[in-house]
Amino acid sequence: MALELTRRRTMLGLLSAALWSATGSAIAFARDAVALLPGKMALRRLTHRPPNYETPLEYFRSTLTPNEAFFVRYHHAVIPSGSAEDHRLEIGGSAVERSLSLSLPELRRDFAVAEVVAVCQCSGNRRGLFEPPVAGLQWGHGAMGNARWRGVRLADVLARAGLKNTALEIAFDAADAPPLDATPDFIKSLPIAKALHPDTLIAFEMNGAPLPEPNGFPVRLVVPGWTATYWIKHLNKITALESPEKNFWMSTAYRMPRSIFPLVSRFPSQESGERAPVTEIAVNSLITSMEADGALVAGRSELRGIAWDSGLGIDRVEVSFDQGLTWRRCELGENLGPYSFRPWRADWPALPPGQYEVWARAANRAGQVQVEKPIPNPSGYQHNAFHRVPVRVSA
Amino acid sequence: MNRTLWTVTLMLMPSGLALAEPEAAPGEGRELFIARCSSCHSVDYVEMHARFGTRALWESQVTKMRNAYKAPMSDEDAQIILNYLERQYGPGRTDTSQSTTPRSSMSKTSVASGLMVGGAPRSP
Repeated sequence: MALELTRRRTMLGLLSAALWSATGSAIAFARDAVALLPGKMALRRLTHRPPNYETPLEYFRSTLTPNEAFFVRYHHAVIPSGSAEDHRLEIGGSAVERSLSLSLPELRRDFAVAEVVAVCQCSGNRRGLFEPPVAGLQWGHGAMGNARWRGVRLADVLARAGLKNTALEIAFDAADAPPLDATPDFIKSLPIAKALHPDTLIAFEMNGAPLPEPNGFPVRLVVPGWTATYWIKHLNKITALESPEKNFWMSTAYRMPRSIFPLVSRFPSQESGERAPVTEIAVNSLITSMEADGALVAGRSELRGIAWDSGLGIDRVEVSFDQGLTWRRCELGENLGPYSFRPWRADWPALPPGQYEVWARAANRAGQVQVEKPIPNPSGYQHNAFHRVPVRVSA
Repeated sequence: MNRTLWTVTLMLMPSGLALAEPEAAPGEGRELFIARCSSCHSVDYVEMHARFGTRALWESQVTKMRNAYKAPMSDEDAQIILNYLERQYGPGRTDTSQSTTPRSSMSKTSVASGLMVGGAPRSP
């Protein structure tokens, strides 16, 4: 089977390259920046293949991001068509007493259902806003979304397999794959504490509907508070390990200098050398009520947005109209749980006519606060600078 | 094992026009670039870096593709591809080319505003 798969993958790679050439040369290319994916509305396209699409900012005006507008991020171009009937989830590894192979109906039937509202945010969200620029997908603000995830607890599935107390990490693999066998498959691991956390789910629903194909149908991992790199889509293999997972995606990629990003939620078995894995989502906020031209009109536009962090809880959101000299506290809105977007709003202050810039910043209950300028780092992760938006005040 | 390629399926669809991938810019080394790079990813990965596509940037990216992603190419191939990228996707090339294919799909402004309404770049 491995050989057949290999051949198939190579064939698919060649086929897609051939098609690419044929369509590319035959058709005058319409360079629209939006496109439709299965089950999706028009999103902002970064790349065709593998597909990477971001959510336009206006969809963050609702606390939950619509499934159709939820961002799409793939590392590899061979993507399964996702048949729920065929899909099986294999659980194994040296740190479980017995291997399991679960179908979707078994997963739904044999385990208690759990729900969590949580932000899924790419580690590199806003990378395109770094100056000087940083190589990598040039995301704007939209490599994130907030959804109500429904599934079963990873802890319950691991317990059924008889997780041993020698387990150090749990590794996750998926049905998508690179076109070349030599390219490292996308496998990520979690420390035991995070894997066993009751909010860490194997999810089959998103906002009350099956996961859209490009968001991981039929099942994906949901790791509330941690960046999307761990939220493995099309999840089909869970391995309990007694030593650290060492593949490229853990040992080299998705790491940051330890000194500049002290983390609350750490991954000790992966912390070797100067760089540690990206884990928790940095405290952040966004203004979402801009007019079509990207500016706010005082008195006419609403002044509102969202704030979020790694689940420690948003303490406050503030806005400034004088480049950070003074800050005004905003009113926080509905609370869908610690991992969710938290909406906020503010009244307009009295401002003399003219052009302004409004800055927004959030702080969490652990005292972490957004920064004026993004912290430079080699891969352009964790951009959490104040959001700045132009404001017009008419006479 | 029913592993259908979603991306290929999409390209075969009659409405595939909207999903047709961008073309690699004309220039010496283009065929080798297509042969060595396009089996794994579309050229928009390259276009999005053109704004800051210095030789040093392209060297780091080609090295990363070879070492981390195991892109199959000889040292000689890598030099040809590097020269092609530097010439066709350097910062000086953006917006000055006679090519019908713009090098950057998103202006800096539209990335920053993030809005589709009014902020979306126009098709050429």
